[in-house]
Amino acid sequence: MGVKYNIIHVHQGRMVDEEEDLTLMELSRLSRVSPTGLIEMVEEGILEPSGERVREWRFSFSMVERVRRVTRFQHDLEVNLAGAALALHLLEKIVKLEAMLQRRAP
Amino acid sequence: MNHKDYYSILGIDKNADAAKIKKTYRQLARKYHPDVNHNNAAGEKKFKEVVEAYEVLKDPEKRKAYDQYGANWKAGQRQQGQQHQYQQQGNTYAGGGFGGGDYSDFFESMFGSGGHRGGSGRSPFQQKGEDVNASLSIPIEEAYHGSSRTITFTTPTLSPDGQVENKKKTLHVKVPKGIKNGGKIRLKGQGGPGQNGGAAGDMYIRFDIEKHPIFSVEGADVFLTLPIAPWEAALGAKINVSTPAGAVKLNIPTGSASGQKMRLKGMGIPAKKPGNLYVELQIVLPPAENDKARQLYQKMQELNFNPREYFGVS
Repeated sequence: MGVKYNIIHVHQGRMVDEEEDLTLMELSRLSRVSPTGLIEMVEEGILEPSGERVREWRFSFSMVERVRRVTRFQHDLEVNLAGAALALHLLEKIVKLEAMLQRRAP
Repeated sequence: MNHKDYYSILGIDKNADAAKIKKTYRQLARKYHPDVNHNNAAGEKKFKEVVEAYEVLKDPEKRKAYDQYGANWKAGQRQQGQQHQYQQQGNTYAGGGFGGGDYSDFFESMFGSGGHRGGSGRSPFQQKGEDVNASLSIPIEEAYHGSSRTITFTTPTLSPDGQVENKKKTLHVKVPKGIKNGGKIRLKGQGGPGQNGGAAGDMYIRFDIEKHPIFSVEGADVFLTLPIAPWEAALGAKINVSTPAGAVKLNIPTGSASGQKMRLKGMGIPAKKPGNLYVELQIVLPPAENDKARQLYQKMQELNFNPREYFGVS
């Protein structure tokens, strides 16, 4: 009698903030923001790619959500890029502080 | 289809001028924006209404049409020319805001939906499928060692006759070793189906590390509160602590205080940049509930220790 095997395909995802494998063009396509727009975000310090020259820039996948968030701020709150960067920075700080508070809760 | 009172949504007077509308919108948008108030479904709903109201009232043409017909507008009443006119003013901000493109039936019957929708299936262009988000709770050990999990979720799928419908789907997923608290993985092509030959969307899975009675996790850093006895703090001690990274012998220096932190470098979650394990000392006093304990505390009184020395009182 033969043994029946169930073949299970286990999907192995890529960790979005660990691997830096998006080029400027790929990030542009995924975030629907023009390369020029993305370069402005790098200049503003919102995005920090690895690599020296624009052609060598690599972004992690978590940057897609970050870029979308910034564009949402610009669009919905009618703020400029610096304002969106500030909002992002403060929100990230709040998330950290909330985690700290939660840790201290009995 | 319900009539929408855009003025009362913004809480403004029917005669409000453009500056007032803009100011009110910005105040409400800051207050209810889903990025600012995460996990607040009521706020998100309110925000969408606010965006829709502003979309109409900020535009003199649309506002005029709304003022004129809005109150007793019925579906199908739209005049051909009017719709055309609004479609031309499409919002070119592709994938822009949160509320963008998600308007009420009332709005769409009046102004149409053309041009505003970034992700609508009505366009004849190739479109990438929707991205799907899921989250999984895992015990801290799985973040250290990895594991595999089965998840079941509903996702848009393409039926044989080409329609998109929601279907149950089961996936076996590898929990990567070294995933941080809140870390995400991306499964390429496991999202919604693409339109007109476009690629399938991706699936994102967020891993949340379960609450643990002893450990808590922030990103890749792990925090542990270690209870110690007063004499261990005063005299120093070697204490065995079991951590998700394995057993550790901790050296408590003499004269340690409550709240003091020790850092075990690289013993947090083994991410690409490994986190640290922080051990916070917490001195626990033995209760004075029997004669022996009371005697010992009385003996300690002989130390003439004044913890309020700095207050200048005894």
